[in-house]
This record gives sequence, C-alpha cells and structure tokens, in this order.
Amino acid sequence: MLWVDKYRPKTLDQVLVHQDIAQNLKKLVTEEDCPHLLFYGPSGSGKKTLIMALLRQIFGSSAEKVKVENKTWKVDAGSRTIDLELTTLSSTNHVELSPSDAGFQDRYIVQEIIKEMAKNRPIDTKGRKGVLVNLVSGNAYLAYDAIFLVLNEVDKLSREAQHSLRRTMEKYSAYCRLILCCNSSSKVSEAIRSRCLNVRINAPTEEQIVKVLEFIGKKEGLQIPSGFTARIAEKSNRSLRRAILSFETCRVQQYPFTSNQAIPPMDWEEYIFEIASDIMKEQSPKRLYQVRQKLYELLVNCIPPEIILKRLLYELLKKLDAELKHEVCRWAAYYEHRMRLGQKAIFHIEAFVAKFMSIYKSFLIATFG
Amino acid sequence: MDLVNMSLASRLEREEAEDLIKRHGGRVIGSVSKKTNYLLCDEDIGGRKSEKAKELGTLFLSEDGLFDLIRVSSHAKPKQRSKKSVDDADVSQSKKIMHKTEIKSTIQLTNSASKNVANKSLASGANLDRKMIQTAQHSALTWTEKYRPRVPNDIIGNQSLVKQLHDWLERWHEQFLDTGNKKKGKTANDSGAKKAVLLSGTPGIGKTTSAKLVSQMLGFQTIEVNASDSRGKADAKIEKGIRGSNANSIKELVSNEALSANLDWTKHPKTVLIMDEVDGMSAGDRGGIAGLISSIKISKIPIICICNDRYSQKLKSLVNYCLLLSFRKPTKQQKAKRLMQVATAEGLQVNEIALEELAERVNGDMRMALNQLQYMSLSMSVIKYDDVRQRLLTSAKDEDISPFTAVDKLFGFNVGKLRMDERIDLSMSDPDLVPLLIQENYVNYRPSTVSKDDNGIKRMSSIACAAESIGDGDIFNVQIRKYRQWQLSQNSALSSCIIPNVFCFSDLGIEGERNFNRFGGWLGKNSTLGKNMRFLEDLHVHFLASRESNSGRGTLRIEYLTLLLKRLTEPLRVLPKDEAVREVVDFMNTYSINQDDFDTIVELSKFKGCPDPLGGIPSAVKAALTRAYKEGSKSRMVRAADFVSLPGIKKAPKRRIAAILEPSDGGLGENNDEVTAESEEENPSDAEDLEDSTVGEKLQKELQSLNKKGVQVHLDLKDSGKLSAKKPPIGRGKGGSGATDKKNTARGSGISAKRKR
Amino acid sequence: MLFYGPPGTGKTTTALAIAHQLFGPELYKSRVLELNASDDRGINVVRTKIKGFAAVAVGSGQRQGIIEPLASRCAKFRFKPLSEEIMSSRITYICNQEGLNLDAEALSTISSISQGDLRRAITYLQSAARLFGSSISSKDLISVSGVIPQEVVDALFAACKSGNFDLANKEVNNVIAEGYPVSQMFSQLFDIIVEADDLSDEQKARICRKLGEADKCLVDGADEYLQLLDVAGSTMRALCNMPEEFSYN
Repeated sequence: MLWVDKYRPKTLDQVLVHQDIAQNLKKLVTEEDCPHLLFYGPSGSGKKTLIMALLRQIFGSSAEKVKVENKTWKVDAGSRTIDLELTTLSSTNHVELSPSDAGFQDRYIVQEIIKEMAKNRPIDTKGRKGVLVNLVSGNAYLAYDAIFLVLNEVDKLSREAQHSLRRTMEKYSAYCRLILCCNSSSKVSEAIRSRCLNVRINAPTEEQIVKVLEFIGKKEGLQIPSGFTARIAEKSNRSLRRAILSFETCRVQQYPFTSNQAIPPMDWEEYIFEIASDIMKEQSPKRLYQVRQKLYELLVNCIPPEIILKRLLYELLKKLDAELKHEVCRWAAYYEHRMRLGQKAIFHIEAFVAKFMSIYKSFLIATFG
Repeated sequence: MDLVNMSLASRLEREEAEDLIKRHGGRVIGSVSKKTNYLLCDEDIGGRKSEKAKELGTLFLSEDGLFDLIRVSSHAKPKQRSKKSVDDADVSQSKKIMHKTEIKSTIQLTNSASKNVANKSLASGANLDRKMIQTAQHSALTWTEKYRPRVPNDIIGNQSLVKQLHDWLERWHEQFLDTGNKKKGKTANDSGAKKAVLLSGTPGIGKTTSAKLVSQMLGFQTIEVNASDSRGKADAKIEKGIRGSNANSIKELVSNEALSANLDWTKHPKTVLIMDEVDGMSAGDRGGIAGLISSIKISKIPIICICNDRYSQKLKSLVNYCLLLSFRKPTKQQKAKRLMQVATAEGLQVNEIALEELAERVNGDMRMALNQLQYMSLSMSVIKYDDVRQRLLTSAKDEDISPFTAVDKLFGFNVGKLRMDERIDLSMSDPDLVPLLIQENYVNYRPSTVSKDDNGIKRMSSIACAAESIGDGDIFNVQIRKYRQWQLSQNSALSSCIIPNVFCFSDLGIEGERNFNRFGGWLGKNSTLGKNMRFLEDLHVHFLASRESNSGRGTLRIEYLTLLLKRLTEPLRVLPKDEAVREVVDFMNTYSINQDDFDTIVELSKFKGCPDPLGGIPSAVKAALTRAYKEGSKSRMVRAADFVSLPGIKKAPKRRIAAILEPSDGGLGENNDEVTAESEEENPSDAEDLEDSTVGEKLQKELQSLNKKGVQVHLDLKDSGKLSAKKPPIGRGKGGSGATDKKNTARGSGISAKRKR
Repeated sequence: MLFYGPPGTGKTTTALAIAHQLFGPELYKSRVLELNASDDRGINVVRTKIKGFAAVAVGSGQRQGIIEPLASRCAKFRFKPLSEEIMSSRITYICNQEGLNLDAEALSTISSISQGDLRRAITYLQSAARLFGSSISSKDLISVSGVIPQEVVDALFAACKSGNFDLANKEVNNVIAEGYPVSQMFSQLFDIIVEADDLSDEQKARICRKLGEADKCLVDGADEYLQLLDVAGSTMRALCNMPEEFSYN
C-alpha cells in the first residue's frame, strides 16, 4: 500500500495536522446537531481525510464500508428525459459523489439525488437523533436519521447547479446533511456558503509536513539523512499528499538515501519543464508548432489544462527577468480565464505561448539587439 | 501561341498567370516541346525545362515580357481572339497590383480598344433575342442527342475498348451457343470468355453509347434495362422485373425456355441485354446483383452491364462473371475537338482555348460539356474564355466545397479579391472543420502582410494575434452551442477563420517539407483524450472500490500516477523475477488494479521523447507477471466495482454494484458481507446487450459451470440482501449493464464504466 | 407590496409575520403561498398557483430585479441594512438566551463582518459557538466567517508596494495555501485601496478597475492563483508608477 494511504488518519483523534480543527469538529458532532458543512482549502491539505474521519466519528466504522456504484438516473428535463450516470461511494449512512463529473447536467444530479434520499427517509422522523451504543466497541454516539451527502468539487459546479443545490438544501435539510468539499470557496455561491458552516483547511506548514514525514520514516524504519525531509517538504509546495508521495518515490528510487539525493518531480512536471526550456530557447512559428504537439501530449494524457498553464507559468517565471514577470502573469491570467470560457483548451494555451514568444522575442531584441 | 510556366513569378501567382495567358488566347502546357513558343520564368533558374528550352531554341519570357506580349497581341488581333475591353481591363487590373504608373497607359489602350468591339452586354442582349426565336424554331433536341455518335469512330477516346467490346460481342454466339454444352463448364473459368461484359467509368464518357452502337453495328437488337426499372430479386428473376412489352421475349431469350424447341437462331433476331447503371441497384432491388449473376449463368444472350464505379462493394461478386472494360475519360483535346465540331455545326463562335477550358472543367463528362455549351449558346453566339470560366464557377459554387478547398482558397493568393461575404461563405461551408483546419495550419504560413521582418518579431506578433483570434472563435463557439446564441455564427467565422487568415495568409504557401494543409489535429486528439479519460475513470473507480484511497480522478492522475507507475515497474526491473512478480501482483491486488488499469497507467505516462515507462523490463518478466496475475484471479479477493447485468428488462436503469469484501465487524445496519472472489480481465464485452432470455439461460449455465470450478462469488445487491452469481472477467471497453431485478441470477462482470460526458 | 433591500434585513420574516398576523395559524396555510427564487417554476406556475391567491407579498434583493410594470403596481417598502446598535443589541439578547459569552471586541467584530446582514451575524455566532464553545473571541468569529485576517491583507499590500515581484508572488502563494477565498481578498484589498491616504486617485482607479475585472474572471471560473497574482502585479505597477501597457519597440 502507498504510504499516503497507509498512514492516513482514520479517526479525528489520530489526525496529526489540524488537530485543533479535528477537536472542534468532534465537539461539533457529538454535542450538537451537525449543520451543513463546507470544507475548503488547497489541494492536499487534508479535507477529505477530515471528512472521512468526521463520518467515522458520527457513524463508527460502518462509514468505512463503502460500496462503489455507478448509478443512473432518468431525469425529466422539460421536453426530454436525460440519462445521467455517475459513480457514487456509499455506505449505510452517507453517499459521496462528484456532481461536476456530469458536465452540463450537474444540476440534475444535485436535484435528483437529494430528492431520492429524501424519499427513502421516513417522513416523520425529520432527522431526529438519538444516542446509540455500539455493543461491540462500546462507543456511544449519535445516530442521525439523516443521510449525509458528501459532495466533492463543488467549486466546479455550474451556476445553475449551485442554485438548485441551494434550494434543495433548504427543502430537504431535515433529511440530509450536506458536507461540501472544494478547493476555492470563491467559486461557491454566496447563498450556499451562508447556509453552511465554513471550515477552512489550510495547507500545513513545512514544519508540520516534516513532522509527518519523520513519523512515517520512523514507522517504516528508515534511515533519513538530516535535512532530507526538509527538502522534500520544501518541494512539496505545502501539499502534504505531495510530500508523502515524493518521499515514497525517493524510497523506491534509491535506498539508502543520500543526503543530496534528487527528489524527482512528477512526470508531467518534467515534461512541462522541457517545454519551458524549448520556449525560452527559440521563439519561432516552427517552435510553436512543436510546442503545440507537446502540449497535446500532456492534454491527451489527462493533465488538466489549467494545471499545464500554471506550471508552465511557474517554470517560465523562474527564468525571466523581473520586468517581464508582470506582463507574462497578466497574459497567463488572461488566457486561463478565456480557457474557462471556451472549450478547446489547446487553442488558448497555444495563444499564451505565442504571446509569450512574441513578448520575449521583442524583449530579447530590444535588450540585446 | 504556346507558353510553358516554370517558376513562380514574384508578382504573378501561377494560376493568375495561366488565367491571363488563356484569356488572351495563349495555351499553357506543362513541358517544353518543339511547338512551344515561349518559356515563362523569372530568371535563368536552370532545371530541366530551361535546359530543354535552350536546346530547342524556345524564347524565354519574363513577366514584363508577358505583359508586353499581351498588350501587343491585344492590339494585333481584335477579331477572333477574345481580346476586348474586358481583357484589357484585366491586364490593367493585374498591373495595378504592382505599378500604379502604368495604369494610365493601359486605360488609354482600353478606351481605344473598346471602340472596336461591340459592348459585350449589348451583344449578348441582342443575341438573346435572336436565339430565343431560333430555339423556338429548332426542334427540341438536346445537343447530346443530336450529336450522339453514330459510328464507333465518333466516340471520343477509348477506341481500343470499343474494339474489344465489338470483338467480344461478335464472338459471343460462337463461343457460348454454338459449341454446345461441353464448353459451358470451362467457359465460366476461362478468363477471356465471359458471358457478360462490364463497362465502367465516370458519367458521360460514352459507355451506353458504345454499347448501343456496337450492338447495332453487329446487327443486335438491344434491350435496355436501367435503374428506373425495378430489378429486385423479390421479382424472382430479372426478366420478371422488366416492364413493358419486352418482358416475354426477354424471358424467353434469357432462360431459353422457348428456344428449347427451336434452335434456329437465324429466325430470332440477335438480342443483347444492356443492364445500365448496375451499381445503382438500390435497396428496392435487393438481391438484384445475385439475380443478375444467376441470369448471366444461364443466359443465352450477351449481357452488357454498365456501371460507374467498378470497385463498388455491390459489384464485388459481379466482376467475376464479366469481362471488364474500364472506360477512361477522354483528354481535353479530344473533347475540345468534338466540341468545336458541334459548335461549328451550330453556328457558334467559340474560342479554342475556351473549349479546352470547358473540356477540362467538366471532369471528363462529355455530356455535361455539351449541355453547358448548349446552355451558353442560348444567350450568346460568341463564347469566350471568361464566359466559360464564369459559367463553371457559378455552377461550382452550388457544389459542396470541401473544407480543404475552402482553406486553400482562404489562404491562397486570390483572397484579397474575395469579398467579405464570400470569405464568410467559405468559412461557413463547414463550420466545424474549416476552423480546425485553419488552426492546424495557420502557424506554418509565411505571412505576406509582414514585409520587413528580419528578426521575426512581426511575424511572431502576427501569429500571436491570430492565435488569440482563434481563441475568440472558440469562446464564440461555446456561446453558440451551449447557450444557443446562433446569431454569433458570423462572428465565430470571422474570428476563427478570417481574422487569422488576415494575419497569416501567404503568397508563398506553406513552409516546410510538407507543404500542404494538414488535417485538423484537434479532432483526433480530442477523441483520444476522451478515451483516456474513460480508462482513467475505470482506474479511479477501482481505486475507490479498494477503499484504500479516496482521491478524486484528477488527483489520481496528477499526484499518484507517477508513484504508481514506479511501484508497478521498479520491482520488475530490479528484483529477481519471482519476487518482483509477487510484489507487483500484491500491489495490484491492494488497489484493485487489473491488467487493463496497468496498461492505462503505462499509457498515460508516455510522453514523446521520454523513456518508455516499461523500458528495461525483460519480456520474460512481463510474461511472468501476466501469468501470475491471471492465476491469482481464481482466488482473488479483489475489491472492485462490478456490473450486475440482470437479463430481462431492457430499459431498466443500469446498476453496477460493488462487491464488498470486508468481513463484517459489527456495527449498525450492515449488509451481510462476505468474502467475494472476483477478477476482472479479458472477457467478451457483450454484457451490455443482454436482453434476451436466451442470454439469461446462458448466464445460468455459466454460473453453474463456474460454481463447479469452485469459485465462490457473492455479490451484494443493493435492495436484496442475497448473494449468488459469478461473473467472468471483462476487458476494457463497454461495461456490463444490468436491470434491477429481484432475481438473483446476477452476473457480475468487470468494470470499464463507460462514462457519458 | 414590494419589499426590497439587502439580504438578512428581515424582508421574508416581516412578510411571514404579516401573513401570520392577518390570517392566524388556521387560515395561514390556505391563504398564504410562499414561492422562492429557486423553486422550479416558470410562467405556468406563476399563472396557475399565484392566480389563486389574493394577497401576495413580493420580496426582492434589488430594486432593479423587478420589472417596471410589476414595481409600479406595488407599494414599495425599503429595508435598509441594519445599524451596528440594532445588531449588537439583538446579538446580545441571543447570547444571553443561549448562554454565550461575547466580549466587546467580538461584538463589534460581528457587526462589521456581517455588514448589516443580521442573518449572517447570527449564523456566524452560531457557528462560532459550535466550533469554539460558549466563550467566543473576535479571532474565532473571523475564522468562522471566512474574513481574512488583516495582517495577511496588509502583508500582500506591502509586498506590492515594495515593487518586488517575487515577494508578491510569495505572499500570493501564502494566501492560496492558507485557503482564503480570493474574492474575499479582493474585497478587503479594495477597502484598503479606497481608504489609503498615500495613493493618488489615478492609482486607485487603476487598481480598482483591475480588481473589478479580476472579480468577474473569478465568477467565470478562472483560477484563483493566477487572478490574484495578476492583481498583485497590476497593483505593483500602479503603486510604483510603471506604465500600464507593456511595449518593447
């Protein structure tokens, strides 16, 4: 098993980073009635881990027995019926899914699934809770009649979907509790945010990451040269997941560790590094055409286009002079925004590269003649 | 006067030059010969043509020389050749592109020349009146009928084929009838002796005419059956399908029923059956070809079949029974000659070059050429090159312009002369493909708008502008398709095609070795992306089902994949074979990664120019891995999402239910979980089409047989707690589908969820 | 009747209260129909359902959202954002009822972060109570509300002022890593810019325009990091009086 998964905390008590949040959450669900929750924060900071731990806190280990299902719904959308299909993870008490996977029709997912869950609930219990005791483990915890619905990537939901989510939240809050998870809460509409308890999960600091890495190292019985974990933490860009994955990659690469062992980047990151070098070396239509083919490679290998653009910017910024940085950032933001409005990502990434080449070339000529 | 075009003059594009020359009565040919008067080229470039020209003493002509020549000849021959005010204006127009000072002089010429010749429009108006009276008096014969060849020599081109046809028909009786039964067996296989002949070729080149003519020459009576007669097998035999009074005689002739009594051929007229448009046998004529073949086999009369496309699928079997004569298109000279004869006979004054142009543009179709000529003759009695050009251009506009042609036109030399609405029409001839073609190729054009650009800055800047405009086009497109703002279609065409074109169009064409427009790469890449996404999603679902990990699909690709690949491949490289295989199989089991997922991981990690993810692994090890994984499938405790395909209800919602693997450990409301054994590998991916009860039975049998093998499988159906069934593994591609059915004849199969996007 | 005003000022509550008062609990159900903005309905529902009822109270967020004919047929009631005193007194009342402990700083914080929206203020209060217990500090309220701590905003602004792009980049990365919503950051930056004494009007205008554009891009779904970085870059250029457009000729 990968270390990321092996050492993932399963209960709120086991959480290493964000202990304070974990304790607060524990208090929240044991003493109070759990409201709708919105977890937000950068990738790899531990939101999903916390959500799972939270569910486990509420429902005990039954929350871990998930089934993966590929559900289909037939939705009546005015003049036609649409067939929707989505993968859901469900246990007895909760259902987890990513409605944004449905693309344009995400709003139907939201409506339908909540309606369905509401239908399966007895009407008069209204989410009342009682205390149940697990006879085997002896834990006492609250039993909710409501189903917990975990929605991932809500920031990718279309505006219409968010509207209908809000409405269904109001209507069916007795029957289901929503736990929403997203990377940036800016993209979640105000209405939804105001109806949830917003829990911000910040990225761990580098020290915290180092601590986790050393914990894992000890458990795995590894000899770690000093400063090694610090280097990994630094390269991880404050993503705990990335740090642990890097750590394990180093282990697979070469063990025993050497103190200046290279920490390999992801495959696609290396490729983008190459592309950036290509662009810096030559700015010509021919080169643009070659770069386009490389970009296609990345896209076809399922790297999301915004990630490509951001990483490309990162690599370029490293090599640029100060005066150009503003300009390049401006264009990166411009083209990324347009990429969202459009559909064919390659057009916009290519436009960015062309623009960069144009700017950089003029800069070079103006500066060096 | 003959000229040969050699190099691209800097001011005149080749086509422009050809146009110009033709308009003024010159002829353009491809290679130098004794008859060539001039060789048109920029400088002494060298190469074969100029070598030969020097040898033969052909005069070299520069661009300026050409213009002089035209001007001179336009003065010298005002009568026959098509030099008129229009032509001079043309000359002046092309000159305008280069030297403005010369305009004055040419305008003078124009003015003087115009006095000599009646205004074209006036003339045509007058002619029209006259012609109308004439046509009223003439019989209503079309020229195609009127001038249909009456002797084989009249047929243009394909003389040898006509001769072959003639010989075949002549010998037919002696070959197939007089010799009696004995030869019948042989003749079927004898290559030279087929009972039927198949004439093939593009429309309008003389196939039917030849067939009829030859038959008549040899004294045969022809019976024609073409596409307008029904010829289906349902009509039992072809003879039944033939309408009209010929029916009985055909039947007799072909089936030889009546002749059994009387073998005297001299009494009955020789008949030949002409089956025209054989490849046009449509659905209504189902089995027609087969019927035809059987008739050929028993036929007592020659059968001539005529088709357009010899290689058509429908005719695949027919060709074995026929002598194949593939008619070729006549050359334009041959056609032009004939057209000239017709024109002269009809009192039409046509320029030879114009006729050649006509002949060239109709793509071999003599019939069409005659029709066009006749049509034009209705409104004018003198036909010039430009008239032909115009006439054919207008009719060409109604044809479909392929996206490639559209792009060529947009990026070609003449685009400056195209009006905006014409350009928009071109772009919208295929609103999906044209923008993609442009996007694919705009980078490679060397723009003409950029003049002085030593360091390439301007060019790069043009490209950046073009790229941005293409991006605009994409955004428009989303608005149009997703938000149904169809009024933006023109804007979309503008930004995705015309504006980039403005920035990047080029006189000089495409640079690089492959100087033609490449097809839009986006389509192919997009579909590959879709496919890869589906595979990634399969992997993702397996991951989730293994319950080791909870990550999203994006995270899986961006963060996990590199490490996964390493964990799967490093041991194979480093450790001894058995240990490596064991370790990898264990890992795969932990995360429910099956063979297909393994391949997906490898595929998605492949980048051009980067080392092969599977490099360095000896193939013996790879084979061992495959074997080991398959073996394990019998006793595998794999957590995977399954399909439960329950036969019966056709349109019930599909349900795919995962097997739960953990032994129950108490707690609330749990289903009765049990150890489930699964594996998901190669399998007939037919699961999705299970509907019939026969399939249900098949499943039952499969289940039983598998149960006998000792594979215990328990599946957890959501609404019913019970277990049963097993499933054979499934490969990638479509997944199974299921209908919710309380019955427990569940058949689970492996995954590959087909996501709809 | 047309009730309009910012959210959380009591429009729906007032309307419901009026209805209750008019009809009493028994008749209420049959005489009162509540339709909300996100209910599934189009013109048909409006025609069928609404027609059946005599009195309809219409609530709206903004005046402009209602078309003229509708607005002109209603008596309009404007609900203003609530003042600090009103909010504080109500909050205090609730605290007493719920047994919560709020110091003066927290009380004023809650008023300022809720911006006149009483519903929001109460929600913050409840969330803070749930997460942090009965003794609530100003910091707790801030963290629960999603408002960005002032130090963070100041740090970013200072980095922009310094003219050092890499420093600004680092601060932007920090904001993203901490998970603060960037739209909120824009809003708070805006407040700082508008009230800054040492900036010229032109500088302010430049920056604010960029903030507006970036906010729109966020709404369209653009990436937060890039937009914030872009804003930081533009701010830097404005503050250091670099030209807006880039040209190398």
